[in-house]
Amino acid sequence: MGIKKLLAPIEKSFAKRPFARFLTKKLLFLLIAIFLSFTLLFILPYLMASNPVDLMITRLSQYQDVTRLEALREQYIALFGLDKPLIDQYGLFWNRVLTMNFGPSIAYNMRSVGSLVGRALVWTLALIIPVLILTVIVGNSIGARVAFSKSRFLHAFYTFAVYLNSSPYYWFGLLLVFAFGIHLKLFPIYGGYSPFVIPSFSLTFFLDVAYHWVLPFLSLFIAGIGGWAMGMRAMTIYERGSDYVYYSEQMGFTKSKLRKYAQRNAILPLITGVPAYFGTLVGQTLLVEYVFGWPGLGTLMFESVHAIDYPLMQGIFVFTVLVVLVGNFLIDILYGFIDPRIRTGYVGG
Amino acid sequence: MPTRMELLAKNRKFKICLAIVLAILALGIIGPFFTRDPSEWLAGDTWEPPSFKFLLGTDMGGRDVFAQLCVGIRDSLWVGALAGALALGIAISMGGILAYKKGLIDEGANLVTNIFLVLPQLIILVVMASLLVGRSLITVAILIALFSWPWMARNMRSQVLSLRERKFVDLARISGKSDFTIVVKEILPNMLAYVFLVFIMATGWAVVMESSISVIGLGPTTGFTLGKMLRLVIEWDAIRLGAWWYFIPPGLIIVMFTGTLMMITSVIDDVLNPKVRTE
Repeated sequence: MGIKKLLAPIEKSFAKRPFARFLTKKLLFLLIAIFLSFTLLFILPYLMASNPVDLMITRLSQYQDVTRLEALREQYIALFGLDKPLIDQYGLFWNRVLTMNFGPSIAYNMRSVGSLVGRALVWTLALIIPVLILTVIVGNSIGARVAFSKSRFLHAFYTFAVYLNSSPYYWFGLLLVFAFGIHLKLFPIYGGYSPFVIPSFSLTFFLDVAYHWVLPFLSLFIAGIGGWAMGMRAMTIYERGSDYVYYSEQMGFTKSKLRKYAQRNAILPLITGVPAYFGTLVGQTLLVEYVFGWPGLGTLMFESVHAIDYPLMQGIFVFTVLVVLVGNFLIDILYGFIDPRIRTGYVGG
Repeated sequence: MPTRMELLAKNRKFKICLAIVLAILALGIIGPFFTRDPSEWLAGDTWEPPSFKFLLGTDMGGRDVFAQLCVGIRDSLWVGALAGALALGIAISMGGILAYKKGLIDEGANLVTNIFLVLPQLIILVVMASLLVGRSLITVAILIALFSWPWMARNMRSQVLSLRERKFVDLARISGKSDFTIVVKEILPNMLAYVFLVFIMATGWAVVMESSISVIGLGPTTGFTLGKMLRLVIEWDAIRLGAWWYFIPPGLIIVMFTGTLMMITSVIDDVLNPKVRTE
């Protein structure tokens, strides 16, 4: 293997520092992934043999007069560099990405895409981060309990969660809107804050946002538990059959203690699934946001699709992919701290 | 010793799950022959609640919701099965054939798989679908398949890597068969049950994906899928109007279908895996 020989000196210098090796590997993966996914974004219109500028102009021609349209078309052709050779267009694309200057948004009165997306990102993160942490913790705990317990209620809840997990989460969100928002009138059903409250750093604004946050959070949270519970149940049942659990059982340890032991060992293989789950969760969150009118990336995405606002769409793509990839990178590093075996690249039985 | 099939056939959970899936399939395949045209405007009144004439009432345009549901199941499952099969094909090439080659090719394929695995599928689908003006059911199935293969490829790869060390594969190699023939004729038949499970799960996933891009208005422009119904639910504000007969059935069918498929994979694991089997 030629490549192995080339890498040999690098491997050698890392031999004594497994954590540096682990970090470098993850960082390289992050950079390659960012490079390839943004390049994918650049070539998509060519792959689909479609021209976003024409699509946008055709759409706008319903509302605007011809002279204004021509000016807009010129502006977009200059922005994307469509009159230049392909390699220059690619350079311009990276220039736009690195400076976060995606051009003006048609859907939002020609405001800059960068600032629109940046603001929406905060709202999206306020939803995703708690959901990610809580689904993993609660889902795993329920899965481990189901494996050890015979409680009918627990099993019923487990089945319910598994079913929801493989559904479009936004539909469950709609049910929550119907039950708690419209029937019981307990929670507001639309938006991120009440129309009469002015966004500011005050307690009233914060409480108002939290009030609006409950339903979208619950739809993502309840629907997200099932996947983890299912994986954890299977892994815990495997662990339950191993010698150390049998031994502890014979020693007369309580059930909850046995569960704790099994849970600790069972959770490790599942943890490697978090990055893939994160990507899916981001997609589900965008849709739930749209249903609830939560002012995050999802609502923005819907507006961009509706108005065929390609610059905005590009901005959302770049930010979402960055969030997912950087998020995964951080999660990976965190595991390195939790489990030394991951850090040192140990993958044996 | 009972065979695997006998073990499964005796399991009550498995029988219930199978019955649910078959019932939904029957509704989608046979249903459309007996219902009226789902796109017939003003077949009844606007937002008519369920009655004997309209089993699930009517929508805002006075169209028969039950008819929409039957056709919706048919079209959604068609998109799902097609996308599942295509994704499986990609996964077999990326995780099966390329993994068998080992070395740089495998490493490269694995890197691409891992990158695709973490990318947010939905946002890519949204950009791609919005670049297309008209989208048939088949186009949407292809788009979904293009980005739903990575987890299958990854699982496939680990299976192939362990199977390729077996004696019968060595024998095939010595007898001078090509790599492609070995993977397709020697290795794949040994993981057929697994391939089938993966196909089932991919189909369920594709049905959910279809409904996800449909709800933002980027689903198929032809046909009548369950996602399209959910799109109309939001567009016409059926929730606020309390038209439960319109917003519950399409989502419930998706949940029952994909959820039951997931349950089946879990039950099969419980019944057939000697390490897990307790009874």
